[in-house]
Amino acid sequence: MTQCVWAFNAEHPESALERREEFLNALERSAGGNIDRFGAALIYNELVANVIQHARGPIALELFSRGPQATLQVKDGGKGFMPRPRLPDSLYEESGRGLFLISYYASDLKVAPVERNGTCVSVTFPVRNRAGATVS
Amino acid sequence: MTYDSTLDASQASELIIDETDQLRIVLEGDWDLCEAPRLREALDTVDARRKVIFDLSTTSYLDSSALRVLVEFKKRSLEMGGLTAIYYGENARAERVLSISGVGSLFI
Repeated sequence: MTQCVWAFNAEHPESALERREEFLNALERSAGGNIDRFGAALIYNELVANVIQHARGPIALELFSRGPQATLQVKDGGKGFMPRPRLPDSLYEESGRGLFLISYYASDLKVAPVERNGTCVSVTFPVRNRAGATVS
Repeated sequence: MTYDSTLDASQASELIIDETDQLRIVLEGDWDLCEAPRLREALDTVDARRKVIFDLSTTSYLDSSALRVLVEFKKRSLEMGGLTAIYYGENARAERVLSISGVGSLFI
C-alpha cells in the first residue's frame, strides 16, 4: 500500500487547491496513469469545498492506493454531516450539487465519524486497466 | 463512463465580456472555489434584463462553486425578464458537468 498525505487549514482553501496538481500526479502514479484527471480534479475540489463548509481548523487529505484501487480520505474536526449525494429538489437551488458531482465521478463515497471528534470522507476513484475497462 | 486522458495543469481564469446586441461572457480557464467570487462580482454588474450568453467553450475546469454563481444569475435574469443561454462549442467536459448537475437544463 502506498500513501500520500497533505495537510491544510480550512480557513485557507486556496492552499489546498494549489496542491491539486500534486494530488492528481500522485493519483495518476498510484493508478498507473489510468485515471480520469478531470473527474478526479472535480472530486478533489468538491471535497475541499465541502470540508470548509462543515469544518474549521486543520484538515488532512490522505491518498491510499492498493493495487489498481485508489482512495482519498479527508479528515476534519467538524461535526459531520449526512451524505446526500443527490440533486436539489429544485434546479434553481443554488447549492447542494457538490456531493452529487463527487458521487457521479467516484466509484464509492463514504462519510463516517472519526474518534473523539471529526468526520472522515472517503472517496474511491475509478481506474481503468490497459484495455480501457473500469476496474474499481 | 468515458475518460478524458489529459487535463492540463491549472489554467489561469480569464473573464471576457463581449458587449454587442447581446452580452457574451467568456469563462476561460479554471473556475473553482477561489475564482467563483470574482465571477459573482463581475455578474453583479451585468444588467440581467439583457440577453446573456455564457461561452464555456474555453473553460478548462469548473465546479459547483461556479455553477452556483450561474444559477444565481439565472434566477436574477428570470426575475428581470432577461434571456440566458450557454455555448459549449466542443467542450464536452463542461457540457457534461452542467448536464449531470442539472444546471445546463436551466439555460435552454
